[in-house]
Amino acid sequence: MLLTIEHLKIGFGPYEPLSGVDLDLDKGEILGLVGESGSGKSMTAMSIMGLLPLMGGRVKSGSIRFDGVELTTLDEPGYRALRGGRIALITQNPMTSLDPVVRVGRQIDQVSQLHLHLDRQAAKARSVELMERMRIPNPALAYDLFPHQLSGGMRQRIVIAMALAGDPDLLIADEPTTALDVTVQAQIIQLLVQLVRERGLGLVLITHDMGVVAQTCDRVAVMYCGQVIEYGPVATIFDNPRHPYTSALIGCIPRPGMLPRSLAGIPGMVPSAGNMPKGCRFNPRCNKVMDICRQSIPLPMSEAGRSVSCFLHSPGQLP
Amino acid sequence: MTALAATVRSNIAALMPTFSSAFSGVALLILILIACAAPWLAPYPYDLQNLSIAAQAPSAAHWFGTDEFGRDVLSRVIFGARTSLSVSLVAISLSVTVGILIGAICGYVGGRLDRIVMSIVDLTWSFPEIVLALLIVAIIGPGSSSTVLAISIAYLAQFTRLTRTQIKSLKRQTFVEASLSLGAGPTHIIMRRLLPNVVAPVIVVAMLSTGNAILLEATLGFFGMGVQPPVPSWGAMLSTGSAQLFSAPWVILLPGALIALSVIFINLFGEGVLHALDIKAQARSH
Amino acid sequence: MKPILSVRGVGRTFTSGGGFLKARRHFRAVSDVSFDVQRGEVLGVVGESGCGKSTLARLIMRLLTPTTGEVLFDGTDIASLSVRALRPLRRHFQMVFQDPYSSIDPRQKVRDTLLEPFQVQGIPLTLAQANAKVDALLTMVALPLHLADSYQHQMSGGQKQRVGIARALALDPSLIVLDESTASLDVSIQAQVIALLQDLRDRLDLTYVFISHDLALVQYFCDRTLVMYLGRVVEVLPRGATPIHPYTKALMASVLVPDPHQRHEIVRITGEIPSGYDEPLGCAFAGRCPRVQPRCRESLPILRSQTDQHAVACHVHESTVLAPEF
Repeated sequence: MLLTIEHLKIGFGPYEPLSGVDLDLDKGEILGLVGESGSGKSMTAMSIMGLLPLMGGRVKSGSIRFDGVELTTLDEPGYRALRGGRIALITQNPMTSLDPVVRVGRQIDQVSQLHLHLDRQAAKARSVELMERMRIPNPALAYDLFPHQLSGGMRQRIVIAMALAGDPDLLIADEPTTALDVTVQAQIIQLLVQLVRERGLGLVLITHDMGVVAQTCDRVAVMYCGQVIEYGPVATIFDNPRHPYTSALIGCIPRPGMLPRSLAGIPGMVPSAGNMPKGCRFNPRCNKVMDICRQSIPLPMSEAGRSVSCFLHSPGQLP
Repeated sequence: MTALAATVRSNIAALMPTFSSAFSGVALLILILIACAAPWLAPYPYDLQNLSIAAQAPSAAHWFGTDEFGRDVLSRVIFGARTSLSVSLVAISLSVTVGILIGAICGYVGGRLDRIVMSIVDLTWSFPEIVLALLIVAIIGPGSSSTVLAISIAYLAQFTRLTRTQIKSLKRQTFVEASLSLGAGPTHIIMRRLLPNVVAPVIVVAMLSTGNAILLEATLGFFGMGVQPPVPSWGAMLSTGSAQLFSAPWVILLPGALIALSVIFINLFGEGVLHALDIKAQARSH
Repeated sequence: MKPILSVRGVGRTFTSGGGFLKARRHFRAVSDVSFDVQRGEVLGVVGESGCGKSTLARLIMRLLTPTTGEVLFDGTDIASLSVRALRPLRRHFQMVFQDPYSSIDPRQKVRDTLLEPFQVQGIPLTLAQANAKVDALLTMVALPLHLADSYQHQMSGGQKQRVGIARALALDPSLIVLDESTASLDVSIQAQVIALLQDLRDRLDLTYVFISHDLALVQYFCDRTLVMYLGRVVEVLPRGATPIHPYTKALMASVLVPDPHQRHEIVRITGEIPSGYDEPLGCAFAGRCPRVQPRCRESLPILRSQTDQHAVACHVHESTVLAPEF
């Protein structure tokens, strides 16, 4: 396995934004990490990248293993060697992840120079080639442009080129298309999928959009309030969701041909960090809630390559 | 505790969230009361000269000594508080009111009016305050009116700019659009939607400026441009006292200390007001 | 039946720049848009960035004045009315905005936000009446009554948006324009709000103009949909109809269906939306259209009706028989 996360808990002051993340990813696979606001999906990305201390957080317990290396005990110099090189991050807003005063070509160069130790010439050639691969028109000319001279979709392609420049094994894309137009979104998603298949990378695709997951991912991890509540192959989970949140979430998405009034929301709202309910965090909104759900937190139960954290499907365990 | 007492208590508590701001608020109140009660509190009239006891060190009869004309320093300082505090408070109030008005209109209306008015306002900003005061005194003559006017104009640009900048950015907020779509006119938008959101930082700057205004009044008084003798002002006392700094230091000590203390108390109280106006902090404490 | 809203040839141009030596640039946000909205209908307006849908919303609400054309609300042209004459009419058409965070004054309690419409319109209310109104509005949008004394920063996005809807309902309007009102909400909350909107429409006999970038949502919620591209309407699509215009087809194909068994190649068109400043001569979509012909770059296609409800602006469609392809 390229990436394995086991029972990850992180802390931010008195809060526990992640209280139980379990998932894994192999080379050449795309894992969809899906959830709504407050689910902890961006926190998971930050944890993998070792950026928690920067934001004032820490790993409380659990493990993150990347290609055999335990990341939770890795020191900063060790992490720095990995970041941008073997593990690359693509974030949501390309306008803030690109340096506004440096030409885009140079920004891609810097990654090659840092991680592959290429000289200036070689780096430039590589950058132009990468930009071509990203289907950026006139890459030789675009090399000298500044970020504000490019459209949103083009900027995101530059960010992806930067992510690939270090020749990573693992790519983490945190909502890479949320800020883009719908037709551009489709292009970028397709590009990412192609790259992953061609190069045998692992991709963790973080999104709130179940449609993106269904169309592109091999496996899916559904998160709610800091926990992975369901995990497994995409087809299996979509055909047969076991956790009530997963099936409710799928039912919230409008599809062509849907009958009017058939779109059902999930009653209530996501609890805030200080107001977590006792027991299963979804219990106040669950249509299949039982007494035990209000008392204890369900642990993940795995079988046949999928897991679910729900008392409907597993024996109770006291916290 | 009755409901009324509880409300009053919580309002006062809201206005003075920390000990330092509470203490400063009370201290300022005392200063103002002393200034108001000057004729009854001062042991001697401020203009009673007695050359035989001129420049005497502090004694039982004169707690802070006498100045070069034999006048009681303490009494002069107490009366001087009236001048200094009233001039600065009036000047800043005037400045804030006019500044908010101009800033709000310029910010909201924009366009040519904005450009013209702001050029004029910026002009006042580019004058050093002393030069401005000199100009005004030259036109109107010395006295407290010209001091008030000079200080008002000196700070006008600051409040105008502050208000205008905030209004310009706030007016693009969606809640302003929402009010517009209900049919609200510019008066309603400016008075109800924009100014309440703008006023908090302006009030804080106003409080801090009052401290500066006292210093400015002192400076103008130092140059003899403020109230005319024998009416005392802290600044004028600094001026005459500085000549006797080594021979009779007590003359300059008390007014100097009170200027410094007033400025400190106003600044600390101003911080409390800022906290009080912060809606989020308010809501958290309920 | 007279339509409640009739938009005729509406256009809005923004001019920018222009100084001593620089020529002014003109940006045509909306060009020549015409449509009717029937009472009780839910009309969708869908498009990507730069298509002009937000500008159109503001033109309907007369928050912007059209450069050309008329906006007839219940027969009266609100585009040409004076501000004073317009004010009493405003109670009949209201808007719900996109961003819940900035659409409520942060210094106002919910109660005051809901009472502001009456204040602005000069409708006097006694204290008892005001309280009753606030409670009634909160109940209508399924919010707990104690929220009346809360501030904006104490509420969730979904709650804020409900307050926005309640405010729009305060004056008992007949038309509500919803500008991306669910775009910033979580999917589960969005579904709640849509259900609420449907319920309100039935109970209060409302008409909606629903603006969104989400084609799937619009197809679900709306009776008819206007598809906009670079300021023009390229197709009027009834619910359940198959799109004809190549752009609409591309939009439809870009919708990622949450069903892993329906995977298809996503990308239909390349390139991105051209800048609104350099307006091409012919069809704005010609540069990206997979079915473009020389004629498309020369002249602008006009919106023509196919059936009673369905209209398309496309040269290619007119000249050839469309083979089923997508």
